[in-house]
Amino acid sequence: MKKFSFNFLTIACAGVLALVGWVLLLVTNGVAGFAVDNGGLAIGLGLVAAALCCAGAFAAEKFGAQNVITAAVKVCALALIMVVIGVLIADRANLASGLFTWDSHNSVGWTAFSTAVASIVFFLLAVVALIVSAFQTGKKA
Amino acid sequence: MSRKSALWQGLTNIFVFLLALSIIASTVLEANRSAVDNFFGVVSEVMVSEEGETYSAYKPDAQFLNADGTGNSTALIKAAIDLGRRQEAEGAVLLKNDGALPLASGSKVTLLGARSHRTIINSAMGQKSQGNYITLEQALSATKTDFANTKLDKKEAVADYSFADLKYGGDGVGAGAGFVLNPTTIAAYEAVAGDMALQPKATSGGRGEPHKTTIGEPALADLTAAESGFVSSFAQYNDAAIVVVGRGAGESNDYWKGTLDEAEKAEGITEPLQLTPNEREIINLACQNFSKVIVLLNNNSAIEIGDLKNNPKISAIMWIGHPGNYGLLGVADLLCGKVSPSGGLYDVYATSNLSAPAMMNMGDYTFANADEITRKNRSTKYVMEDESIYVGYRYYETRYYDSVLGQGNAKSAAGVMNSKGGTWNYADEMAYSFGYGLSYTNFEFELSNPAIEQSAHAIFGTFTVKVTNKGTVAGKVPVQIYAQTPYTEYDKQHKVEKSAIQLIAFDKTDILEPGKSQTLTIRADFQNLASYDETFQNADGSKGTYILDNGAYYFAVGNGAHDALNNVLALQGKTTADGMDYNGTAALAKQWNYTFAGNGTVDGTTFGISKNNVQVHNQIQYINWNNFSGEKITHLSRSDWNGTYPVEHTSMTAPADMIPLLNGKIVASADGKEFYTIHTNDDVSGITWGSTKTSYKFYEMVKADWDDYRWNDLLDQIALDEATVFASNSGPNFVIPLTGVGFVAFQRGTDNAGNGIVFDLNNSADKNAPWTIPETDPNAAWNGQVFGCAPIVASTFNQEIMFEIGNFVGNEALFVGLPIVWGPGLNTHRHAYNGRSGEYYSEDPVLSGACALEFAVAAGRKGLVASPKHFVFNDQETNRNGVAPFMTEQRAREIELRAYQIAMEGVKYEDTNEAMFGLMTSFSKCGPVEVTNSWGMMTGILQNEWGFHGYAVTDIGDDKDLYTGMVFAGCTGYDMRGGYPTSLEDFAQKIGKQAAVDGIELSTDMFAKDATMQGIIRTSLKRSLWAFAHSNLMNRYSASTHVESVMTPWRVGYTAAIAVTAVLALASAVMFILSSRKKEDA
Repeated sequence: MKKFSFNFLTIACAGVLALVGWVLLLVTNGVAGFAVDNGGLAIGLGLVAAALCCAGAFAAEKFGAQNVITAAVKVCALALIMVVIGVLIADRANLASGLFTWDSHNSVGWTAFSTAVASIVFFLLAVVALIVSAFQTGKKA
Repeated sequence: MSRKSALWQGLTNIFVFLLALSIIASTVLEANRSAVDNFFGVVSEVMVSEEGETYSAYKPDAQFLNADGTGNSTALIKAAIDLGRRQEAEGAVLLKNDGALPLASGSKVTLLGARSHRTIINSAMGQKSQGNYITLEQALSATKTDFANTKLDKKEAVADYSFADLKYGGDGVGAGAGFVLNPTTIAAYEAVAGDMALQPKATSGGRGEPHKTTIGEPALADLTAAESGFVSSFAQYNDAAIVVVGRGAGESNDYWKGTLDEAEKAEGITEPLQLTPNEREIINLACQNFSKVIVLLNNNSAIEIGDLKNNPKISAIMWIGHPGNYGLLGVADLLCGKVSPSGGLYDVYATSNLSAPAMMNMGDYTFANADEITRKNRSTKYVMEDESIYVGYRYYETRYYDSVLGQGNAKSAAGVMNSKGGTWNYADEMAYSFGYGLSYTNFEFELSNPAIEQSAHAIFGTFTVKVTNKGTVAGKVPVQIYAQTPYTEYDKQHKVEKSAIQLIAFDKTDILEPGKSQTLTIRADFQNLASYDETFQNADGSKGTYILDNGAYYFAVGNGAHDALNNVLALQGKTTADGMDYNGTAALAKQWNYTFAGNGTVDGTTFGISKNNVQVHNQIQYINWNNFSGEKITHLSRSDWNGTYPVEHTSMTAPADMIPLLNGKIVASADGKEFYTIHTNDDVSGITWGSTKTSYKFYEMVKADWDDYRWNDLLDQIALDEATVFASNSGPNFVIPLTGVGFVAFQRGTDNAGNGIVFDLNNSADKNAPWTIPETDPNAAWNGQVFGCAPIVASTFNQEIMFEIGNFVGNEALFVGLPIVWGPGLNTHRHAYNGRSGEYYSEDPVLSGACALEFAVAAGRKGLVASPKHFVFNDQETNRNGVAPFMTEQRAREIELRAYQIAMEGVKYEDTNEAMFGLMTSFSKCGPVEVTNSWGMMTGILQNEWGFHGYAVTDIGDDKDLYTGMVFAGCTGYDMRGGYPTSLEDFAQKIGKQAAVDGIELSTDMFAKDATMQGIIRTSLKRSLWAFAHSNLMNRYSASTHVESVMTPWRVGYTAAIAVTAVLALASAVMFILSSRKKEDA
């Protein structure tokens, strides 16, 4: 069985985390009455980001962890994930301000908010994994 | 080299991450810049004019300005303290007094109860009180305060204030009460103060947590543990004990039935508005140790005090409400006798709140078939308001009257909570009725027959009341005029309900010295005693209108509703032998016989035409559950109290013909059977947009009348796409400019208020105003949200105080540059458990409507557009986001709507044409239809019947999925805090993402071929501009007015973060690439 580098595993981990975040994005976007502003764009970019993570993992394996192409793919994935996070925060900030003040009994709103937070958390974990991978030199596991 | 490139790549990623975060932060901050500005106390956009503003449209009162026209913050704050103190002194209600009050100056007094040390001072009228306040301890024992230890937050305010500054009249009259307080009890409460929230919540709940009531009263054991000499200290301070008990109020929560702690329930206490074991323990302790026990009630939702009333060891009871930052000075003035009490109760205080028929249905109710409703987030909850018009005293007093007359099964067991023997008995069920209040002196009233003025569509009665002070101290007294209308066979047949007594007008005397008299002339609009008959056949073929029955009408004065009713009963020949609790005074009641001169058994003509000359007819029949198919319910009727007493409806099934309405279809008929869809092929050639034939500018329309000829031309100049988006957006930020008329986009056009403007004094959006308070001013951080709760205003029964509050808030608005205020709260109190009782005035619509009218007119004269809220039926906070309340249209019109009608029609100010320029709608529905989408409410009644022209905003983002319906119904836009469209292009994205009803895709040209909607949009636009034209915004407008961005500290912060992280990301990336190349070269 082929051994993958730590770098591959870290980036692949980022991809999986981004994919989980993306699924949660679908969930929060699908909460009745709480579709995300620019939700379609975020869903598309989130999927591309997850795909880029996977591509980055294989690029790291093929070209090396510190190769410019690998680095570019990863930073693009990171940037796209941040765009998705930004879309989510921008949309849910208003919802959150209501839930924590005048709208605390909005159970559907809480579902939309908590799934959005979960999505953001997974996307952020993916970003952390990408950053960690950027510091790696590419040793085999 | 690999490690170096790894380092640079890692750093690149980190800085890209931080850069992205900075950009996200900038986006979110800018999108919510109004809230961010408020948080930081800055303004990020200002309106400026090249030639300078004139500031001639509206100015603060001269007393708040220095000789050079600059603002005098000290004068403003001292006036606020003065007004807050007088408001409380006139609004607090003395309910019981065996002679213990007033206490002499120098009395040695022991304060007991958590709320004596942590008095609940705020009323959360949209916003909570802020800034420094005066405690009860200070007010009772000190003569001045430096506010050093009484800060609700970290803000600074006036450095020093002498209590003697008050302008009651007479040197030194405003000094403190001069009591000597027991320091041991104060120390004990301070020791346990951590458990006593200063602003306790009415209930918790939400997020799946159970509802729970926080009272915060410590056990005696905790107090004695904190101070071992707690009880023994009483001996040295035993002239009197003042025990303060309280209940909080606030947004988003209600009191709930049976929600006390388990331990408290174990003591036999079940309801949150009953006195808890700890409260009873401390009251009993006071009764055991003091000959004078005075209980102060620090609440808005009625605490159950029936046993205190009947306890001979309780010397006095006084309701003080939530008195605001300075109101406790007024309480001190009352306790020491500097001022004689003159307030009357804003609500009934029943022995048990659960005895109100409305309490049968309050709380969380979900349609049994909620899964059939597609609009699940907003449309699956309901509440049945089966009590009909019998809200508050209308229930207790009418049932009492029928008991005395032996009619309608009034003495049956239905609704009995405290009556002995299983039959309903008023004296057992009621502690203190509406309007009741005592004084330190006695007044004698003389009531003359009313002088009646009748015209084709109006009747007014003018009552002359001579009031004489027969006591030994000076005092004021409210003069309350009540009416009884005949309850006839016609009414029974047509299901028209009648209250046996109702307030129709009121006024208050000046301070009368002993032996002095004053004659008041009080004009009552008989519209307020007309009954709404949903079955009446109008001449024009429509159905339903206001009627007057033929028969005997009775008018009476009295100390509250019950006293007035007893006076009516006395005139009708009834005595205690007939079952009255005491004999009334027949001379204080008058009879007026009315016979309709026209055709028909009742008069449906006089008030069938509104003051706006429109035929009144049914507009909201969908508010009545029985007008749909399926299961029928019974509304309470005095024809049979026993057979119609409400039952709880826990699981109603929404009928099939109600589902489309719950799902948000645009209702276009009063019965909810017809729907509106966007027209796609209208001839719109008669409607002009974007005209260049004229060149009127908005700034020229300052204070322009609604009928001013220039409006039409000005509206012609506006583009349809701008108008369409403008109709979505009603503040706080107005981000869509109207380029054709020079209306610029600007920030902070609106905010919440009622008991003061929420902004710090120097946080002005109008920095160029001559009176703007600079940051260097020692009072710069004083926050204007300082006055007492709305029920205190109501309980003053003093329209001058009501007017003064509006005037002062209008002045505050000028200092902070706020043109529109979302307030005051104008819903009626349906029952005591509404957590928002502190924000709304009263259970009585006449009293509430008068309060709001005075506030609005006074504020309007200062250029502050008042927008009373929440129009309408926000009868409970539970499920307020879309709850569907069902009731009869008669109930809707005579209780909730009548308060708004009085404020909107502004009869008192008809000569000056002043009334309301604004309104905020409710989150709740009107039956199954959102109020925001109810054409009957927003246009049929509000605009057509009442003649309201102004700005009408939804509550926060309410019904953003129903834009077309919202506009069609007659709202002028959404309250868009945080989520407003920032451009025309942003409109569909921000508003239209869920607007799938009828398949309508939102766009700026969606009404391009719909003449009806274009007409409505045009009117909507005019209404908003007309309101602004009568606001202090006009101070800032001139021919060259434009908006400039301000580089606020938070903007500096995110800009710097973006710049730094971008540079570092770029540098790291370059270093990474270089290091990678070196590695490859190597």
